[in-house]
Amino acid sequence: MIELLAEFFSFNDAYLNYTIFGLIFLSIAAALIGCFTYVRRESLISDAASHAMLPGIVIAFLFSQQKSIVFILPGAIISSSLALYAIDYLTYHTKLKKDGAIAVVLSLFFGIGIFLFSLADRVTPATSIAGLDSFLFGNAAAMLPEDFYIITLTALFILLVVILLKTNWIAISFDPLYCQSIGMPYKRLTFLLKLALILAIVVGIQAVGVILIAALIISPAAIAHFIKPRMSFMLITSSIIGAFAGIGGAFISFVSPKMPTGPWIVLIPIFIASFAFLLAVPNGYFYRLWTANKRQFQVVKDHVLKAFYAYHEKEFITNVSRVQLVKQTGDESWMIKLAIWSLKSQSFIEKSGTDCYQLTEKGKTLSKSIVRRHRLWETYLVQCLRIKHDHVHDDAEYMEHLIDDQIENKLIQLLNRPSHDPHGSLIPY
Amino acid sequence: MWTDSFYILWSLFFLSLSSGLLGSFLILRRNAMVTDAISHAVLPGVVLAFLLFGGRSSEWALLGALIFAAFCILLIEFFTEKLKFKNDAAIGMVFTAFFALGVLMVSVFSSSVDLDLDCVIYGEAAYIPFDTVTIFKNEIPRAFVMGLIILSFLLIFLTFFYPQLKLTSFDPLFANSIGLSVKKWYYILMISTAAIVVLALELIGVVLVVAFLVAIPALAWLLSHSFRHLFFYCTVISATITGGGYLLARWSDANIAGSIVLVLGTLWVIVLFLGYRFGSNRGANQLH
Repeated sequence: MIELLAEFFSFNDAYLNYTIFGLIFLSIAAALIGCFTYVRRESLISDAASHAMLPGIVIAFLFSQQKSIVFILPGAIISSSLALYAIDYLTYHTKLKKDGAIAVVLSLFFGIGIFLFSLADRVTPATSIAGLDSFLFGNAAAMLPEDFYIITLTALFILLVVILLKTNWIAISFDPLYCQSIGMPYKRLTFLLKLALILAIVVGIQAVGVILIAALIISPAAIAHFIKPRMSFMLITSSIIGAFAGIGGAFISFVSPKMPTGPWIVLIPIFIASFAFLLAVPNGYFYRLWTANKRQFQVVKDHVLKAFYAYHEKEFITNVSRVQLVKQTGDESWMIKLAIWSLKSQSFIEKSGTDCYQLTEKGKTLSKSIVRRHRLWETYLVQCLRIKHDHVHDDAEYMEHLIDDQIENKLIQLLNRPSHDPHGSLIPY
Repeated sequence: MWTDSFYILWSLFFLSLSSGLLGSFLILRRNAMVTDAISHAVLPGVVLAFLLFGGRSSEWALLGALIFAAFCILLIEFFTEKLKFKNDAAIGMVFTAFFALGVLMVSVFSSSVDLDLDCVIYGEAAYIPFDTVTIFKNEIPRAFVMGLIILSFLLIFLTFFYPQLKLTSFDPLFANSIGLSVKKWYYILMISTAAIVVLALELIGVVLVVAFLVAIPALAWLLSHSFRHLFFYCTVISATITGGGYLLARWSDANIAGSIVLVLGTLWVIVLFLGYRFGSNRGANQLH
């Protein structure tokens, strides 16, 4: 495995390099276009556009009798454009909705492709048809230098168009009516976007196959949008994800040339996605869990500090064990463990024996201030709001975490720096 | 030879009719692309069943397919509702991933799985007569029996639950307000779709089953003004395309499923042309 990796990344084999960089450029081009199709909610159109290439490919093959990309390209582009036109026609001129139109066009074109495919299988010698199979699931190992050049040219074209027309495409994607009203060439821009989509798909069909190439358009953009919904960010991130998918696909085709490459290229972004779902900020699972429990955790930390104060006040103990802390606070053991770890790393407490801890100077100040705020609030409720003194504890328990320095000073001023709280305990200053 | 043709034709007719009837509701609910997703997503389940239990035991394949279909639906919902993906992108991401997984499993375990990629894509309806089960000492093709069972289940199901299905499809808000769970019926329809896809997997392949599940009822829908018409046209279209497609396939020696879809495509072109010419589509748009 290590030797294979080393050989793969040495970039010595010229043919292998064609495959690697061909797939990377292809995935980047597809990912760039995918960002726009994603925000236009047209992801599934790319699925239809790719499936619909099959009849064009087979017809081109039947006429030219060879599997060269030069002949296949025009055939695929024409049949895919026809499919996109058919989707538009069905959506605007019949009562079918867009998803219905997409599904109908996709399946009919693909079916006709299968019909022609099986026909080609019967009328031409088996040796020449053999390669046509790779158009279904892709075979990157069969990539030729001419394929590489065409992919690179297309990718450069798409990159250029995206850089030049980024603003316009964003505008027509988000507010088509406004764009038309200020006289933007709306139809031409939409046409160019669709053309770029078809080009990005068509150059990749040999490497990834017609059935799965739509995933190269859909997945990276969707994942990038999940991480951060900003167009510039999406364009860059989805390109990076696409590049990883490309490298992965090339590696697979290098290790086992017979294996279809398409499925692998599709699954790599999904692996990346599962990491993104966990780790992304601010949408990822862990970050959301953290923000949801941050306040809760702060409260537990305050409770621990207060527990130290309570033991010191009642029993004159400064060394408190974890078991005692759990008993005093009533919080769960693992939360206390986490809180102790956090307080220790902030040096509010320090270790003073096996599983025993004591407050540092910094910790003493903080724990005193929490208790002070608690008791000041109790005093305030009894003196100023005339609430009975046996009803004030719960509210103070809640407010002690929320009172900041400013409110504390105001309270001290208002209450004339009281020495004892309503229950007779000393207020520590 | 004659009996072979008989079984092939009737199996395909059962399949296309049950797809058409079920698909009518899917079209009305705008679930066409979810159907596409399901048809792709059951593949790993079927392969897994073949791997674990060997041979072509349909029950396990069915179970695997149902589990993966449910998984796919829930995942799409999770992506859309919890992670705020756009719905179409969620569908595209999930089903391509599932399908890719299935294709990988087939190609990695090709020696131990009695299912090749060609079969997954085109299906081989011509092999229907060779795979038989014995019922009352008669050798009857399995696809024929399964098709008959699925169709009769579907017909019984439609007879009993027609009002609920109709209401949740046409007026989901009202259905919800009188306590009819739209979501429950959505799940039921999707699971039934998965069952049809399993049967279709061997006969016509996973992509072309979408043509059966969507293109047949969509065409019938363009022609009809009521559910009764819709079902009637579904039957007519199914019969026409299976008959015509089979003849075409025999004549040209091409793949049967492809030929059927070609005939269906021709029907679409004719209907669209006539609609354009005589305005029947525009008429269909008006309320009656």
